[in-house]
Amino acid sequence: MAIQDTTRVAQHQVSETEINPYEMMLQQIDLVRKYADLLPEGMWSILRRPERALEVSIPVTLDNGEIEVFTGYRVQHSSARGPCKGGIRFHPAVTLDEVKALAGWMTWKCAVVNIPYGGSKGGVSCDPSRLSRSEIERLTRRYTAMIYPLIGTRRDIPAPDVNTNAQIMNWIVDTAGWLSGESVPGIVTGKSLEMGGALGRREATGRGVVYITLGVLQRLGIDVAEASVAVQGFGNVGAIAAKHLADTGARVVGISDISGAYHCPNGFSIDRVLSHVQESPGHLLAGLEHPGSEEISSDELLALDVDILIPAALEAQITARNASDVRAKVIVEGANGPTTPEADLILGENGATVVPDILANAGGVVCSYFEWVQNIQCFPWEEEETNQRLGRILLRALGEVWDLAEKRDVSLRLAALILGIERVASAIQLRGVFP
Amino acid sequence: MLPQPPSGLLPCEVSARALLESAIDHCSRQHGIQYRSVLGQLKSGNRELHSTLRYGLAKGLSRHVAQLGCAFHGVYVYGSALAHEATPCSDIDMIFVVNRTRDEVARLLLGLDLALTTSYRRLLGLRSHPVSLLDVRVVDAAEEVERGRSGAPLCGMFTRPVCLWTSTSDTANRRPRGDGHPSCSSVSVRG
Repeated sequence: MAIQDTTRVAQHQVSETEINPYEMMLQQIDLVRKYADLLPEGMWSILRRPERALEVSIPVTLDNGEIEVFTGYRVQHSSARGPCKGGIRFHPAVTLDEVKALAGWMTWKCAVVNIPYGGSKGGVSCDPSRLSRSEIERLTRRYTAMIYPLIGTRRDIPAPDVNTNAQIMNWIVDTAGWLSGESVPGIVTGKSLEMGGALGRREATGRGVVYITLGVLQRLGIDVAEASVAVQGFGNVGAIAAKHLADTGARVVGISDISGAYHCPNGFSIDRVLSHVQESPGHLLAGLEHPGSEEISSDELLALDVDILIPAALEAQITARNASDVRAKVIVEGANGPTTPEADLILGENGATVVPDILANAGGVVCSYFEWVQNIQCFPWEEEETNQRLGRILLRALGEVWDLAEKRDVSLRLAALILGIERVASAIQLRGVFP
Repeated sequence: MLPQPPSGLLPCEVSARALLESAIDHCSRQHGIQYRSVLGQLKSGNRELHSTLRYGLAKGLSRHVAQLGCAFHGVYVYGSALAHEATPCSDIDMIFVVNRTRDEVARLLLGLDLALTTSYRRLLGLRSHPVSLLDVRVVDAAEEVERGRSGAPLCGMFTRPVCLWTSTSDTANRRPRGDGHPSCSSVSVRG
């Protein structure tokens, strides 16, 4: 057989491999272990495993009268620092190992920003785009009933995640209320305002990105009024971050979404851009007309000569292919996982400061915590109070991560993980092992 | 890939599948046998083929890191990949010379190992072994120079390391070296 034929056969023989997310989570722990303070061997064994994992079968009567049984999960990784906290996702790719990995990630994330939560995650393996609203409602209510023994205001508090939203949280509160015979608004966060949601929750992740960005600029001695910014993604996180950074005096010179990217060297009027987005079909940037601006490619946006780059769109946007073109001094990860491990290495080698997602986009979970506090106290806050407290918590966390990075001579990404994992380990040690 | 994966759960970019395909192709060329035969003999534990496969994988990895800017300075392989004695559970002994031993390097190498180990196990139908396909040592440039001064090559226990790639000044030298599977004696070792 000719070599070309061999290669062709080979391409069909070696099946594509999905890396198990739970193994990736364990690998993160192994990485931290190389740099963390000495902990007993048993501690690492505790950290590697979730406290509880529940798999449930969820029968749902479809609109056509047939019954379909879905599989759902709820995993509680750690309750050492407080009740577990983590979203619920509806997605065809949901597996137990994925949920276990994400639950662990929530444990570290809550610990990094030092809010009194452990970590958890839930999910249902389903394709919500193929389900009607009433089918999704029945799925949500039955799933809630199935995981009800695990969740609770003082036990485990779900929130929205991939393909779930405020309405689904409202159904969970309602179902849990009927099952318990009590009003339980604090059993989930991310609810509608009328159901006990928090003012400022929608904007919290974007605002958090702004607080973190301002904190980093201060530490690097860059005057915000002199700073230029590029934002990739103009949705809930990117647009809010662009708006508030512009309000603080920064010059937002690059913006993009899935419909296109734009460059305005003198700085965009973000209010004008927001008006355009609000009125445009699909709420996209496409067709933006702004004085002094030009359309550029999405690669050119990432390569703009700016002080701050905020990737707030999808994962894996900064890669080995384009990382060496990135000229920003600071990259603040508004999205989850925008920088691949290869790109992370190149950015670090080129001297860029990368603020990791676990810290940069933690505004959402911090505001969820505020919503829960308000629900428990039956005392809603003004939005201003939420914003002020959000800023204090995130800036304190940034300072702690920054100092640890300097002390241990590691990246901010690893410092955040070390801080989170050591805090959880410390709580476990203080509690001791029951009985 | 997970939807919206946080950075800690985001895999490396490298396609472990492509690296394995390339390594099997390397085995096929080196031993003059067809793909199916290579796969069959790998599954039955042919040591020579396992060594060739590991050398091919090490070469593929060196190509990958050679593209990552100036962080990596060189890649070496040693051990069973060179000595025709690898078993299905053998790891690949490698030395990565880096500019500075940073945690981003450790993260990347751990990610590459997980991707390769997962694909390799699936290809050969192995359940839990090898636990890790790469046995990696990271050496920074200063240590490399120091060892060179003292006359000590970057050393393996039983086999002398073979340099697969080094970032010398001209771009021609940035390409991985050697197309064949070298024997220990026929390849010069760069100390």
